[in-house]
Amino acid sequence: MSTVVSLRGASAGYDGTAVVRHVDLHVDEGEVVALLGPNGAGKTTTLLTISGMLRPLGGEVTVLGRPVAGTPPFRIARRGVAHVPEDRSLFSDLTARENLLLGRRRKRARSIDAVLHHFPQLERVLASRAGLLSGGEQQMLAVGRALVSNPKVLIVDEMSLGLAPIVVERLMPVLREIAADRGTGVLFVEQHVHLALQVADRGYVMSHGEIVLEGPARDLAARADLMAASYLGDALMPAAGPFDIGTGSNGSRPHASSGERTGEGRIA
Amino acid sequence: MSEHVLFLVLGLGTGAIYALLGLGLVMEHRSSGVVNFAHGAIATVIAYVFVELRSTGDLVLPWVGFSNRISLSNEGLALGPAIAVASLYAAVLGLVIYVVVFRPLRAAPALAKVVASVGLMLVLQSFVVIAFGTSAKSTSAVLPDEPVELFGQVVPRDRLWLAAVAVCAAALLWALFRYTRFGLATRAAAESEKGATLLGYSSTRIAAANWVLASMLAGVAGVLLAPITSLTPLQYSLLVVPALGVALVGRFRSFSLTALAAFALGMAQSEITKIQADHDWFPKYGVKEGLPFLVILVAMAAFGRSLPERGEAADTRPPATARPGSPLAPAVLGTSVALIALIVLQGSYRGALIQSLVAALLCLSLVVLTGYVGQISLAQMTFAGLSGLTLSRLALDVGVPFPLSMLLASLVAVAAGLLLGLPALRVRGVQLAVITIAAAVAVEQFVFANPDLNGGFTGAKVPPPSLFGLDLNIRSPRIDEYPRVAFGVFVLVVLVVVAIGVTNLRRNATGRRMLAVRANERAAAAAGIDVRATKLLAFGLSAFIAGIAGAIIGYQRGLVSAESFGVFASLTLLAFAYVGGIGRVSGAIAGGVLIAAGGLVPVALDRWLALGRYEVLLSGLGLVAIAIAHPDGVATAFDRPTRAVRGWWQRSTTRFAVARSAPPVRTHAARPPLQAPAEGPLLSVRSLSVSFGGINALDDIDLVVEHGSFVGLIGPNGAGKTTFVDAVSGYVRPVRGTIGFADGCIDRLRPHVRARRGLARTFQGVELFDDLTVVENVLVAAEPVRWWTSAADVVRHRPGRLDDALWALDIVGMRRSADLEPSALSHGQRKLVGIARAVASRPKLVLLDEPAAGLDTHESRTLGTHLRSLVAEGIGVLLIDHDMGLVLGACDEIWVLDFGRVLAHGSPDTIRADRAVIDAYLGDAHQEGAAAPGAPAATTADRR
Repeated sequence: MSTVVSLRGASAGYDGTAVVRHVDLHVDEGEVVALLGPNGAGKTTTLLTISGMLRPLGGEVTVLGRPVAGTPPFRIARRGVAHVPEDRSLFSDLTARENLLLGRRRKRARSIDAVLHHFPQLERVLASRAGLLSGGEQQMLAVGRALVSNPKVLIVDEMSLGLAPIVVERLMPVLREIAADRGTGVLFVEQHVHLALQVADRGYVMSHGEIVLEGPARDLAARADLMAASYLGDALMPAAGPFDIGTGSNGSRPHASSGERTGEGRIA
Repeated sequence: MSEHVLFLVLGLGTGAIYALLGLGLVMEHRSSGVVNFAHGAIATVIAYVFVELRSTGDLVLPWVGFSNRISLSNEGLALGPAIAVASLYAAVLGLVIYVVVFRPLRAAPALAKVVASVGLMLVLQSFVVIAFGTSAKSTSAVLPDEPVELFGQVVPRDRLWLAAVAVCAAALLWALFRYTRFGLATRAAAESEKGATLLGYSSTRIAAANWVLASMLAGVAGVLLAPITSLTPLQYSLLVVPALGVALVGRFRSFSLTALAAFALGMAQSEITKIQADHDWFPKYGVKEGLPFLVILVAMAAFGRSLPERGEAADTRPPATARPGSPLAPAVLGTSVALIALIVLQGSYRGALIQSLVAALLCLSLVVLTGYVGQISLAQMTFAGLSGLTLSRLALDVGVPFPLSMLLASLVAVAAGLLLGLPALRVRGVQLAVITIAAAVAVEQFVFANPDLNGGFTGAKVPPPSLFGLDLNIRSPRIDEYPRVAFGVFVLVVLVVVAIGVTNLRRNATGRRMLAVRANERAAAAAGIDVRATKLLAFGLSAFIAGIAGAIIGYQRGLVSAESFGVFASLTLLAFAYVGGIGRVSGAIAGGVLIAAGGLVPVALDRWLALGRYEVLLSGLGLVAIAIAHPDGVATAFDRPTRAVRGWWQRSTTRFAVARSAPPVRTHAARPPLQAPAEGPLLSVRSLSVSFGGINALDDIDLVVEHGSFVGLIGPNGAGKTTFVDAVSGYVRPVRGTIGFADGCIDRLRPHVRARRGLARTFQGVELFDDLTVVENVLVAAEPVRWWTSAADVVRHRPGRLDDALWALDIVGMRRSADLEPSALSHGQRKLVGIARAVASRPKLVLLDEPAAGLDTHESRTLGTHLRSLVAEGIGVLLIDHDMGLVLGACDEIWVLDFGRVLAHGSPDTIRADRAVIDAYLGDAHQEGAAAPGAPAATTADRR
C-alpha cells in the first residue's frame, strides 16, 4: 500500500510564524486517519499545508509522491486531492447542483447521482441556491462536492460541524466506504472524538502545534485518559517524559520543545 | 411616425454601444468583483489606436515618452488588419490590467478596487491625451453604412449592424456562462477563490480570461463607435456612466437584461432628443441624460431588500478604522501647524493649503458615510454643488447673511443626501455606488447644466463672507495678499470643528452603531440597531459636511460653476479620500494635504518637478499604486508610531482600561432579577408557516416558551430550526401564523424593534463586528437609542453603558478580553462574545443558533455552564444545537422539529426515549446508556 500523504518534520504557519512544528504524519492509500485535538492545536493549519493553501515553513510535505512546496494549490487539487475546508467554501450564489457539477473537473470524476446516494437529503434541494441551504445541508454539499471528484486523497476539516447526530452517524461510515471501495486516503479533523475513532484506522492527536499522541484508533479509544489529557492541555499533562505506554519511539527526531512538557506518545 | 423610426434606429446604435460596454462590465464584475470605472477609457484607448492604425499605419504602444510608435505600414492599415491588431491590443491591455492592477487587489476591500479603477481611468485618459492629443478625430466607416428603408423611413444601415453585433455578443456570453464549465467556474471563483482553488480551478487564469474578453468587447465598442461620432478623450470615457447604469439593471449578473436595458436606454434617449426638438414645453436640459437614471434608481430600489438574505455575501474586509481616542491633542497640534503654515506660506502655496483644507473637509464627509457606515457615495460633489448654488441664490436673491446662508444652503444638501439615502436602504456595496453616480449625473444634467439654475455663462456669483464686521473674503484689493489669511483661518476653523465632531462620533454610541451596520446589517439589527435610521443619519450628516464644503468652495472662487461639481470630481474625491484613509479623520486630512489635486503636496511636487502634462498620468499611477500597496489608506502607515506616542502619553488612561484592569468579578449575583415573572408564556408561536419558493420550511408550528426557562430546539438538518429563529426575530416573513411575545403581538415589528422589546438572538456563523473591540461589540447592544443621543455624540465624548457590557462579558467569562479586537479571539471565544452581545441589553429571551458548533469538548462544556448562569439571571434561553451532550444535559424542555413540523416535545428523558426522534434525528447513540459523542469516553486524566 503506497503512502498518499506524508509529512516529515513539517512546520507551517502564517506570516513566517510557525503554528505547527515538526509534524510527522502519513496517510496510506485506502486508509482513514483522524486528526484530533482541541481548538487552536494546529489541525486546520496542517490540512491547509497538505493541500498547498499554505506553504510549509520547514520539513518535507509530499502528496501523492510529489512535494507540495512550490506547487500552486489548484494543481495539487488536480492531482486528486479534495479538501473540504472548515468554512466549507461553497459557492453560495450557485445552486447545489452547480456546486456539485464544479466538482466534476477530473477525468475520473463520479456522477452526481452516485454521490447523492450518500446524501439522499440533498436531492430535494439540488435546484436551490447553496447559500439558502441549512447549515447541515451545506456541509453535506461540501463533502459531496469533494466526493464527486473521486479523489485519491480526501481531506475533511470539521466533518460533523453543524450536522444532526444521526447524519454524523451515517456520514462517518461514508469515509470508510470511500477508503475501502476506492482506495482513497482519508484524513479528517473531527471534534466527535468517540465517533472519529470508531471510523478511523489510525489517529493523531495534536496539541499546541505538535503531535502529542498517535496510534491505531482502537488503542487511542482505549486510552481515553491520555486523550483527555491532551485536550485539556499542558496543565494535566504527565509531569515528565513521554507517555508510559509505548515509548517515544521517534525520540530521535528533532522536536522544538522536547523535554519534560512534551508529552509525545506513540501507542504501540 | 416615420421620423420616430429614424430616431429609434439611431438610438439602437447608441444602445448597442452601451450594451457592448455593459456586457464587459458585467464580465469584469462577475469574474473579479470589480466595477471598472476605467472600462470606457479602455474603449477610448482602443478606438484611438484603431484610428491611428487606419490613418497613419502606426501602432501606438501604451506608454508615453519614448519609442512608443511602431510603423506597421507607410500608409494607413487596411480595415481587416487594423481590426485584428486593435483586437489583439485590447486583449493584451485587458490581460495586463488584470495582472498588474486587479489581481493584486483580489482580496482587497471593494472600495480599493473602485479607487484603483478610478486611478486607471485617469492613467488611460491622460495617456490618450498625451499620445494622440485632444483634437477630435474621425475615421471611415467600419460597418456597411449605405441607407436602408425601414417603415417608409430611410435609416443608416450601420446602426442595425451595430445592434446585431451587440445582440450576438450578449447571446454568446449568455451561452458561455450558462452552458460551459468556464462560465460556471467564473461565477464560482468570483465568489470563493479558495473553494475554486481547492476544486482545481485557477482563479487567476479564469479571471484573466474574462478580462481579456471584456477588454476586447470594449475595443469592439470603441472601434465601431469611432466612425459614427467624432472621437474625443473625455466624451468616450464618459460612456462608462450609461454602461454602468445598464449593467446595474442587469445587477452586474445578467447579460440579457443588461443588453435589453442598453437598447431601451439608447432608444429612449434618442426619442427624447426628437421630442425636445418637436415640443417647446419639454425641458431642454437634463431629461435625456437624467431621466433614464431616475428609472434605474427606482427600479433598483424596488428590487432590493431592506436586510441582506441569509448567506448573502458581504464585503468581508471593509477599510480599517482608527481606534477611538481623544481628539484634543491632535486637534491642537494640527491647528497650530496649519495656522503657522497659513501665515508663513504665500501666494499659490497658501492657496494650495486652503485647497487642501477644503478637500479634507470633503474627505471628512466620506469618512462619515463610507468610512463609518460603508455606504459608497459618488455624489459628494453633487451635494456640495447643490449647496453652493443655493448659497448663491440665498445670498444674492434673498439677502440671507453669512453664516446663516451657509447653514441653510447645507440643509438643501442634507435634503438631497436623505433622498439619495433612500435607495441605500435596499441596495448595497458597489451597486449603491453606481446608483449614486446615476443620481450625480441626473443632478448634473438637470441642475448644474441648466442655464436657468446655474447662473448661465458667468456662473452663479457668491458674495464674500463677513462676520461681525470681520472680513473673511479670500480676495483683497492688493493682489499680493491673495489669498487672504483670514479666509484660510475661517476654513481651518470649520475643518477643525467638523473633524472634532466626526472624531467624537466614532468614540460614542452613534459611531459604534454605524460601524456595526457597516460590518453586518443582519447582526446590527439583532443588536437592536435601526439600520435604516443609521444609514439615513449618515447620509444626512455626510451631505451636510459636503454642503458646508460646497459653500466654502463658492466663497473661495466667488462663484459656483458646473464643472467643479461633476461626476468625475466626485469620483476623484472618493479616490483621494480612500487613499488617504477613509475610515478615519487623520485619513481625511492626509487625503486633503497629500493627495487631493490642487492640494499642498501635489502643487509643490508639480512646481519642483515640473510635471506639466504628465501630472494627471502620474496622479493616476499614484492612486493605483497606493491602492495596491496600502489598501487601507496611507494614514494607516502612521498607525504604529502614533499608537506608540499615544501609549507613552496617556498609558492606561483609555476609556476601557477599566475592563482589563478590574478583577473578573461576577456581578450578576448581586443584581436584582430582571423582571418579575409575568403570567402566561413569554413566547407563544401559533400556526407559524414560512415558505421559500413553494417549499414549506415551517408548516403550522405551535411552540411556547415560558418565562426564564431553558428550552432546546433540535431537529435534523434542514428541519427549519434557523428559519424558526429568523421568523421569530423578524428576518423572514411568515406566510401564516402569529408570534406573541411578552404580552404583545410582534408579527409586524422590524427585527431591531423586536430586539429592543427583549427578544435577542445570535447567528450560526459568528457575526461579530470586527472593527469594534470586544467590549464595544457588547456596548453597541447595551445602549438604548434616543433621537437626541446622536446630536450629543457629535459634541462630546459620552461614556457608554459600560456596566451592562461588562456584566454581559462576565456572564460568559470574557471580561479579560474586553479590550481586544475580535480577530484576536479563538473561534470559541468569538461565539461567547456573540452571546454576551445578545444578552447585554438584558433581554427576556435569547435565541441561540448553534452556539456550540465548532467548539471542542472542553469549550462546549464551559458554554453549558455559562448558559445556565444566563437562566439563573432570569433570561429565557432557546438553544439550537447538535451537541446532544449540551442540549440533553442542560435544557429543561426540548422541542423537536422535522420537515418544518413539530415532531416531539417534552423533557430530555422523554425525547431521548422517543422512537420517532431517534429515527429521525438522534440515532442510537443517545439512548440511555450510550456514550455521548463529542466527549472523550473518559474525562479524568491519567496523571501518572
